[in-house]
Amino acid sequence: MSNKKTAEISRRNFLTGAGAAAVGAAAMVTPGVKLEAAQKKAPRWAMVMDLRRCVGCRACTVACKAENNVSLGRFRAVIQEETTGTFPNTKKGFLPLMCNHCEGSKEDGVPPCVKICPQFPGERAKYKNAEGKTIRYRSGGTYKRPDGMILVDTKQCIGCGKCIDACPYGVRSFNPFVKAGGDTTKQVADKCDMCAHRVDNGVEPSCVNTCQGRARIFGDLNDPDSAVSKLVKEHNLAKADNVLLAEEGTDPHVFYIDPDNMLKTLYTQRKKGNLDHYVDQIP
Amino acid sequence: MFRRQCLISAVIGLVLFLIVSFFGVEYYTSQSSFCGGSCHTMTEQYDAWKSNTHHKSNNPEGKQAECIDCHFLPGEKRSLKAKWEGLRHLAAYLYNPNAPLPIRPVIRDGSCLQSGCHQRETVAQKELQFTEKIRFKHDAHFTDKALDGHDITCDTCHFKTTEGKHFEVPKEICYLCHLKLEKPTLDKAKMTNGDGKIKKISFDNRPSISFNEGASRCDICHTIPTNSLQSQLQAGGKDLTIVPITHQTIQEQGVACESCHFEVVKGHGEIETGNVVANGCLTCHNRSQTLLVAAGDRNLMHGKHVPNIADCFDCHTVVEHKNRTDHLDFVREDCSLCHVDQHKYQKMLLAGTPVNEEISGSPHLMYDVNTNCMACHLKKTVKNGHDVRTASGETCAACHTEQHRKMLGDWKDLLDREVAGAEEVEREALDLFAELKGNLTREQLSQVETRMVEGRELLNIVRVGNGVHNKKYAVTILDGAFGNFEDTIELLEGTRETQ
Repeated sequence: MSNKKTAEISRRNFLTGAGAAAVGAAAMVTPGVKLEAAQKKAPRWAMVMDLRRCVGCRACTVACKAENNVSLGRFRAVIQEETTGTFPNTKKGFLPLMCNHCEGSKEDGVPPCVKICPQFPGERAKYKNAEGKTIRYRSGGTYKRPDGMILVDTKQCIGCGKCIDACPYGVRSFNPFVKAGGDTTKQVADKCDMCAHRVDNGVEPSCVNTCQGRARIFGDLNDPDSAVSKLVKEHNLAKADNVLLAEEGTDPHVFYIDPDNMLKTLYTQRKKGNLDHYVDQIP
Repeated sequence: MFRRQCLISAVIGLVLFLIVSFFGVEYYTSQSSFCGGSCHTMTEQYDAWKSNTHHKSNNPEGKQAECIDCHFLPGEKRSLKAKWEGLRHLAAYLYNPNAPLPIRPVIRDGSCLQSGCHQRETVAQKELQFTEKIRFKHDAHFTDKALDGHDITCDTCHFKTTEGKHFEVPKEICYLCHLKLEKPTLDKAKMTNGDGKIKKISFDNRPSISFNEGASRCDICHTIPTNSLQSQLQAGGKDLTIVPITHQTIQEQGVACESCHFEVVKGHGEIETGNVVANGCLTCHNRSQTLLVAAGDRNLMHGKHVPNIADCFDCHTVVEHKNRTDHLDFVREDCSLCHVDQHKYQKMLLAGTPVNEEISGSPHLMYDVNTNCMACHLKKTVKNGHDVRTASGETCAACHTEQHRKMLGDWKDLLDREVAGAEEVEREALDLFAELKGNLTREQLSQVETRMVEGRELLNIVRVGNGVHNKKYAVTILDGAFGNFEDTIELLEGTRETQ
């Protein structure tokens, strides 16, 4: 009980004032970018990938690996690329991929990975939002936090791998170096956690922070003034053409500004399993 | 001499006149326009015929079958018998214009299959596809075999005249032969050996017609799906040693189709021997014991009545065949005689029915595959003088794998813990409420009360309905209860601080 309470306080500190010190730190790391939860509503974190700006440098992949200690041969954020046209009129397209942090199906708002997790719903967890209202949710082997992040709790995970099969995007894999807390004979499931530890402290995710072209934009979708909200509104990104596999009904929250239709040409026509994206595709 | 010539010519004239008028009348009365145009009782049928493919305007080959082409055999039409039949109808009508048309028109196979019309071979080959998964073959019905004394002819099935359709095949006629079924009752499922372990479920009294074999087999008309019924386990998955449960594996085990597909058939197609209903024997016959003695002889009854005297549905009640009904209500029915809406929480959990606008969940995996209460609740015990059927991990393991035996226990433990936790918070809230009741304004008081009532109701769904009926949904509901209690505590604590 006491453990939970401390966790709650730390989270509350961040969410109430976004912690002046934390924001200060964030400002130092990423000048000009501040992460603040919207004052009125609970945040809903989302990302916009501006494919016009991505040059395929893979700094995000490297930063992610460094930040999260992603194991050898596995990736949480990758870039897929494709060269089109014939010389001299060739063009290279890039498609950064990561966990979509889906909202889940329309009926119950639970993403497929969470729905299938035998360890969900697990322990109860709660925190206080900016208004001082207590927000309660269930954690589990894998679970969706009320701010939209899909996380894995290594303590509760039993390493059954059902979430890996259930994810239509193939963004999950086993971590070969960490045992599952619920069943120590198995490996834990691993995935992008949108750098929850950074975001909780008011700093942008590592991949966003490092992106030189500013192709990755991260923010609160519930805050109408955030860069993400503005981009989604400006480019009308909430429609099916601008997210991956909209037909799966998972309501992904990584949006793509995609003038060259990379989603259709590169992603939708991919060979299933071939492009499961924890394996990067460097030609 | 002159008189004799006159007489001869008069006779010849008369004969000629008679001949001409006979053929004229014969020709005139053989026209379809005569049948439909002169008798107003035939208007409906006549109009329906005109919009049917038997009329040349709707026929792809431009052929036309006149009334007499079908209603009489090829040799009979334009005969005195045919005219006599028409006159008899007229006489019957004039005698009592209000009498219903007494006798069904009989279309003999000879008329349909006469040269220039339908050919036996092509009709027999014809296969109809109603939906993607429901098909029909004419072939099997062309066997010349009598069915309980009833020859199957074209008009056995193609008989119904409805507005705008001269004849059609009502679905009920298929069901009457194929789906006369006695449904299994609860007492019929039992365990084979007495040591409490379930090896195989058998029926004491098998349904008189089984969907697994004979003319009632489902796969005669339906294409049986071959995909896995276990949403998490599909054929060709990683682990090839585990064979997923499909319709076929279930059928191999000799499980009756109706043990999952409950009440797909309603009504028994039985014959009422009384005169209370419109289609009883005594509607036509006088009450007589000798008459009813013979009523059980199907061959005799069919031979006497069909096809000239009566339609199938003049005697038989209608058999309904429907897609999936609620497979849980079928079992709950027995309880609901005394208890109103008994086991509604269990049903709510299994079906994933939303509790309110905020709390909803997915149905239990067993719900979607039509598994009802009796599938798991097989152990018979006596509790408070009642026969009670309980479920155990045994039942899980009987169909699934040995590992499933433990699962039910795990669920129970988890939910017991969760319920105990919720009860603890409830007690905490109640204690605090007793302590700080005085601090509350009237508005806050009503707020607290509604919150507590709501929370208790949610808690009861899981307590009474037993959360194992849908673990995940039960936990979601409990979260609602927790929320209500904790909000109450927060509100009460808030009043303490302001003091």
